[in-house]
Amino acid sequence: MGARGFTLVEVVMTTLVLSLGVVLFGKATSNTLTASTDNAERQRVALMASDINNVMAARVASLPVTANQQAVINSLNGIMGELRTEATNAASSQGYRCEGNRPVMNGGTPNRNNSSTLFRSWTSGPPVCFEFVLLNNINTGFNGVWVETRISWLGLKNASDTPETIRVPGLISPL
Amino acid sequence: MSKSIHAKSHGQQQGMAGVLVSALISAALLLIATQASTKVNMDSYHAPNKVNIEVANQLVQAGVRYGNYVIATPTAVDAMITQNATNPAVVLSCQSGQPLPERLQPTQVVTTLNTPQNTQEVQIKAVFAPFDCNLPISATNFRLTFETVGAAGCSTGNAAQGDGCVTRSVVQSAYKGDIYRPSIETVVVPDPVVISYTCPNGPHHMPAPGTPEETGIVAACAAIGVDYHATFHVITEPYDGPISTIADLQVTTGGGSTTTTVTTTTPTTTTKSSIGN
Repeated sequence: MGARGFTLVEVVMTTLVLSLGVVLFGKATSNTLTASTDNAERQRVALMASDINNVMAARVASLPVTANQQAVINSLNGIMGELRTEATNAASSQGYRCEGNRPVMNGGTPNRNNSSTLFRSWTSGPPVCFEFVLLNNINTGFNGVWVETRISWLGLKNASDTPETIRVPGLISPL
Repeated sequence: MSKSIHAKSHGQQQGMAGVLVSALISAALLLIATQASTKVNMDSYHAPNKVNIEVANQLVQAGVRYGNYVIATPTAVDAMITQNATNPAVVLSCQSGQPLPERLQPTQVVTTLNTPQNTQEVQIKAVFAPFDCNLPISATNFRLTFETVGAAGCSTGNAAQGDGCVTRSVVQSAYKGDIYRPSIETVVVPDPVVISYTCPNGPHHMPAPGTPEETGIVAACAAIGVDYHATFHVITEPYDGPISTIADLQVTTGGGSTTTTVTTTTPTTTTKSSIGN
């Protein structure tokens, strides 16, 4: 009643089948994780842009409802300037800078002292570059002005250095 | 010999069982991976929609801001009513005994906003109705409901179609007017009531408080339900009628409004004293 072992062919076949399964599983899991992270980043970035539009709307809401369009434009120029400064500081505090709307890592240790509450709340997201565009050439029919918040980042799925960009518009008025 | 064949056969079965188990394990792993992958693929498919959701939210807010502007601007309300006056689906008209609906449902697009990209759309549907059906619709007598639809990633002109199309809508209502009448009501006009009172003290411009003359006016007014104790206006006009030294009070009501007029005559002027309530 001596126990008989497996033949070499059986062992090889079993190992091959199992290895194939493990490799495919690993590959699928890797793709899944990449895509999942990419989706999460895209969603987070979209929320950032929407938040920024709401911040601009809140600033302009302090104007009288009868303010003319130029007053709205002036107010938007003011808040956009402040946001640009804060975005630059926030990027620096996280160890990167923006060149042509593409995040580039800085050398050295990042300075974590960033006083911007708005941007500090987004530190969990990917390194992003902001662009705030005033679209006052679009006729709105009242004192509202279109703006567009553009955010660029390097997506995980994209192997090249070409950043992904989303554009979220907002019509800003005192009303 | 027989035992040897049996042992060999048993060994082959064990080997096949090993291959089968490993194949089953591999299949299970692949199923798990496929399930996770399918879920994430669906997420990836919807990823642009997640951006479009935020864009659509911003677009619908844009429409609401425009709606707020119209509501706050009488000339804009008037313009919108005038532009759509011949469209019964936008500007509702009142009919006697047939009340307009309490809740107005906008069905037709009255304006679209210009947007930064042609894949973005802001449509404003509107419906107007008079607040008081006994008066014409205007910027001071209206009810309105706007429905703003913001669409991102949709084919132009079809706010609910297209791959990755996201729409959001918000409804806002407003009204302006004094008396809410959803249908035309017939106002009963009372017959004019005339009560005469003869002033005992001759010509005057204004009765002094507490005098019999004022007491008489008060009584005459009270008889027809007019509050005399409001405002007393005196208007003096050139007189070219007959000379009289008797002052008369004539109180008249009717037509849904109340006017009290005191007419006195003097040799040179007629003094009309109107008491409004």
